Amino acid sequence: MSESIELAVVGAGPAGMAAAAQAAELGLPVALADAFSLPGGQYYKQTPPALGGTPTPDEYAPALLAAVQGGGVRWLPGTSAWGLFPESGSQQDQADGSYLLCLYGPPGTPRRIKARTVILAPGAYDRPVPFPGWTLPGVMTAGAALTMVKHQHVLPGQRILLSGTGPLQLVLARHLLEAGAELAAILDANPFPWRGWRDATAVWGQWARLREGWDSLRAMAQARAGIRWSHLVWRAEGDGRVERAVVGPSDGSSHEALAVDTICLGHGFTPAVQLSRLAGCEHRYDTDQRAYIPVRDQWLQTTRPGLFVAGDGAGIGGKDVARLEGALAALGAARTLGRAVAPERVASLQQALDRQRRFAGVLTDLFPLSAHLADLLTDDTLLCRCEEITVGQVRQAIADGATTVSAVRMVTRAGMGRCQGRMCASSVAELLARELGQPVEAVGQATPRPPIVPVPLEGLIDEEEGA
Amino acid sequence: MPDRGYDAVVVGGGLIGSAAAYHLALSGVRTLLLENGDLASGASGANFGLVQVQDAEFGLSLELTLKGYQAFSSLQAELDYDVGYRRAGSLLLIDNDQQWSTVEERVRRLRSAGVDTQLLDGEEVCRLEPSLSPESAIGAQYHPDEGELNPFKLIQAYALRGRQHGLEIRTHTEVTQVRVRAGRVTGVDTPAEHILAGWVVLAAGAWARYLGRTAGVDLPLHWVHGEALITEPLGPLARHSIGSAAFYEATEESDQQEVGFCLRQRPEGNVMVGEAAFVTDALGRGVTANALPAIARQAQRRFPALRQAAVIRGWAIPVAFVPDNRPLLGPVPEVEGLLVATGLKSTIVLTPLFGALIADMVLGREVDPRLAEFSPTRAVAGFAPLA
Repeated sequence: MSESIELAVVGAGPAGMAAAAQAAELGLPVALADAFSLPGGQYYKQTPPALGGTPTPDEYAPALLAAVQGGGVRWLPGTSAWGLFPESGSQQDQADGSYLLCLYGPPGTPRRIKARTVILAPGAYDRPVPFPGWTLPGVMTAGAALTMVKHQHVLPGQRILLSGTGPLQLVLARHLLEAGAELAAILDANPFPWRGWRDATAVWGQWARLREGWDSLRAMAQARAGIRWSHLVWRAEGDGRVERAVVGPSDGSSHEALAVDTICLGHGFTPAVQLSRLAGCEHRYDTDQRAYIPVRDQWLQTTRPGLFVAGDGAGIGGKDVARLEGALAALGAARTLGRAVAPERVASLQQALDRQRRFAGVLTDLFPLSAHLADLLTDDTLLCRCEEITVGQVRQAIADGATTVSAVRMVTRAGMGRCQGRMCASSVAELLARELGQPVEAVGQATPRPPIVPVPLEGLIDEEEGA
Repeated sequence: MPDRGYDAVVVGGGLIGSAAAYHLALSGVRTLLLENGDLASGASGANFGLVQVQDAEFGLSLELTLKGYQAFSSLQAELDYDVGYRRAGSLLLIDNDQQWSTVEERVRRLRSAGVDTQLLDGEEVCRLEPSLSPESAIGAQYHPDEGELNPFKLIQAYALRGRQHGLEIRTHTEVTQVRVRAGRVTGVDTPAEHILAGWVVLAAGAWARYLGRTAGVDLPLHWVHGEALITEPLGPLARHSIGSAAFYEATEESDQQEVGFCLRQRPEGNVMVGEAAFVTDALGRGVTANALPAIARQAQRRFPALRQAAVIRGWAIPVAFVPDNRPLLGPVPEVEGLLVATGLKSTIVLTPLFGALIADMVLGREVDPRLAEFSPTRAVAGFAPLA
């Protein structure tokens, strides 16, 4: 089954929903695909009604959710986008862009959509941070823990250690405490953000966020759970699952063992750039975010005409940046398609975006990826979970002459598993850069290859057969 | 760089280039191996790792293939490196009566040349490979111990052992020009420098044609854009490497996509399936939208159990071939000091042998005079010169 449409949007978080809603408002035929069965993405994640439903995440969510499930959007739930190809022969002279989007979803879902314009809103994933023992059951990402406690109403454990950086840890701490867990400690890899006061003007007006932060701090104070600044978890230990965490200052000056059954890691997020890279968009390495992000113009259009990226997939900005970018990208797509776009609407979106981006920039600045994380790696630490490749094997490959992520991959198979390097490529790159004394952007990156997510063999076929 | 440059510069860090560089260094030749990307980043790292025998062209190719195959029994010991070599055997599936008679004739001739190959009927094939759909083949050409290995590891082994004998390797170094003066090679240019060399060995696969052109030679190479896919690790599915006898049927060169069939299960359980190919003059590496569905259709027809297997990636690479199905190997008569080794039909089985032959040629040792039939500037029927 193949369809043609004016605009295809990938990802139904705040950016993708806002894009689809804005497009529908302008009367553009728009399709919206998301791998989950309910719209919302991570920020506006919905709990199935059988599990009690979800309280309204913020004042914008209800309208967006209604628009997606209303009549103006071709909503494709449970549908993975595994490939995005510029139509052949249209590399140079393509004026309005034309793309083939390859999908895999429930029966009846089109497997190919030919779209004149595409907005990618793929979001981000938890940045994996390897350390000795990180693959023991009981170690999980902060994002996974938040989903469990907030949406599935399941506690990931009883005595929990939080290790990472930034305000998400506070949010997670509050939810865990409210659900009855005991917090062994909260470690932040960065020092206390005193210099945040300099950014007071960027924080001014962020009342909902300040309120959430205040609630979290109050809950923590009541539970006598303080934050240990400039601290890391150095090692997880246990027989078959986590029983102890060895924690200490990030300079390694001392260590202490804590009895825990769960460790939640929250070292921030990495933009999901697989589709934008596959489509051939230019990307640049952002040294603040320590990640590759697509190059975009003021309409959020990439270097590929008619292809836009909105939200965390273009750099971590949070849900409000994502929502505003989604709407702006839809206006950009409408403009590309020759529709009239109200200049006042564009101006007000851009103004609101500037404000939200300043706040997001402050957080990136105050809670960077700690340089000390590299000190955690021992030779027997697992780096690539899919192929079970250790730090020592990667160091040997580097000693034998590998200078890039691809060279390490070929010699060791690190990154050749089902995650295509999402879990290990950034760690391999950081390790290469450190061992070779080079900047991270000099050692290359994992190459996304279609299907960028695992798809059953029969799902690659463009027409459903039999069944 | 030594003041006087190098005795030999090998261009291309794939199978043939790394083997040649290793053998040159082993013979005491001051050798530099230049590679535009990472080692093994071209077609040498994007294949199924098969050490094939039973598909060889008759004549000198077959003779060399058998000799090359024998070298593998001692190769791991010689290189002191685990390249993952094992003898799993292979099957070339026969689809129709016409293929059957072609294969029947081939098996007869191959057996008389000493190749351990057999013709099996459909039932026998299904006994050897129970997951194969009984409708999918009427028989097969069978070789009980054709080999397979990890091509990345083989190239890594040559690089490591070569370095121990003084080989220099520079990756991420593009060769922009082969320098020739008065009919003799003087070296190569990179964007950063001019490198002096007494010999230049072009082992750059599909890219060799462009490099040859900078020395005024139009090598009779065409190339196909080959594409394949790989699944996540699965339980036992196929014991042998499996191909199709369809490629014996002469096909016209075409820029339309042709879908052949080959499948190999890695020791780790991943199943590789190929391949879709079209003749191209663009050296791209992009998987095309139509290739994966075409391969998937073939795969699920032959192995229905693959239907639900998760495919974790596809890949694509340009592969050089010579329209007369014989490799390019030897000196370029018009340019003294320029040697070409590329365009092999089945590269891995000939890698150790060709590596040693290239060193022999550079050192002026006597080689089999019949190798002249692989001369890189021979007249090749069906070859379209560059405009």
